[in-house]
Amino acid sequence: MSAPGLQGLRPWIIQRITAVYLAIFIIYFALSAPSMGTMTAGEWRAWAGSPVNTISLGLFLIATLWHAWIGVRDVILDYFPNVVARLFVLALVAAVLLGSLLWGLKALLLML
Amino acid sequence: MRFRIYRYSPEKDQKPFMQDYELNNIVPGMMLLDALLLLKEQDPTLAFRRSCREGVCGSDGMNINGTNGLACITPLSELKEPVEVRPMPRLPVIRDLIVDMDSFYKQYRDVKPYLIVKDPLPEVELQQTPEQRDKLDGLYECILCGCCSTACPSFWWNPDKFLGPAALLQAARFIEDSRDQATEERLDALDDPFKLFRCHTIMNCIQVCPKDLNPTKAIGNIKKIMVKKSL
Repeated sequence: MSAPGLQGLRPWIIQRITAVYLAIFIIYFALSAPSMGTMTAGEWRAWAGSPVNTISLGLFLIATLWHAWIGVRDVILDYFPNVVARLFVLALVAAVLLGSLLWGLKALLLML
Repeated sequence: MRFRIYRYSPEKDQKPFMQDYELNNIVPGMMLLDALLLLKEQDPTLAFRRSCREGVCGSDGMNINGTNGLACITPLSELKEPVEVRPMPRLPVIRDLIVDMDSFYKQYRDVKPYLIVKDPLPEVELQQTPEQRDKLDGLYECILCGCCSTACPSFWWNPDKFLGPAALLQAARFIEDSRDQATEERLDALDDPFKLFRCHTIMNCIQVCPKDLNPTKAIGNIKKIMVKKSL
């Protein structure tokens, strides 16, 4: 097999589901969060601290990173025919995205 | 009329080169294939495939002024001079405009392009309603010229692993066929990161198909059927 562990249909569906969630969340965020330019740390904390917003922000974080993983994975599958080079770049991207996930979760937990 | 034609004979040429030709005896209504045949009289070493000369056999697929098409149904009056003719991209060149189609045919074979029926065959033919038959329109007409697959960037990057629009159109043709009893196996075989899902709906295939077929739509339909099945 040319790409062990990688699937076809499942990531394609997840890419679409996360895209729908991202679109809905971005509209919700734009309408409900205090304006970015003038927002104070306290206001931001109050908004993100409400249970609905904490959960939807957490889902947003996961959806963004998952969506990014599938998109970048697709680009890498297209342009890296060499299996070793491909695995290396995939691992690099996975490390950056996992790091971002931990960082984002930490920020979310500090909010509570 | 001026022509620039890709020439390459691996046995004697170090690398491919473009050769200029000129034709004076152009008659209105002539197709590019007619011009190539006249040029072959001038220069018998020029090599290209052709057979039916009316867009049915799919032998003379080539890259004409940057776009894949069949020489026999491309009117000279629509072409800008000098007419640049090259072999279809990404396939190995055997000589001049003749490419090695083996990998293309292998992909075609990979999708099992024939009816698979597990039940005992009926005494007469397998029957279909007119609606079931209508689903095959736009799928069965493919002449396997290779214009679409060799115009597809996803095929250029992964010609050995991505099946390409031509083979996927045939996969769709048998997945949609009400008489076929291997739909599940066909769908499972395509659920892989490369075979089907390298298609990024670039749609070069639709643009170049000489039979005006729509492989992108067929690929989209396969994805839809896969999603329905997985739910």
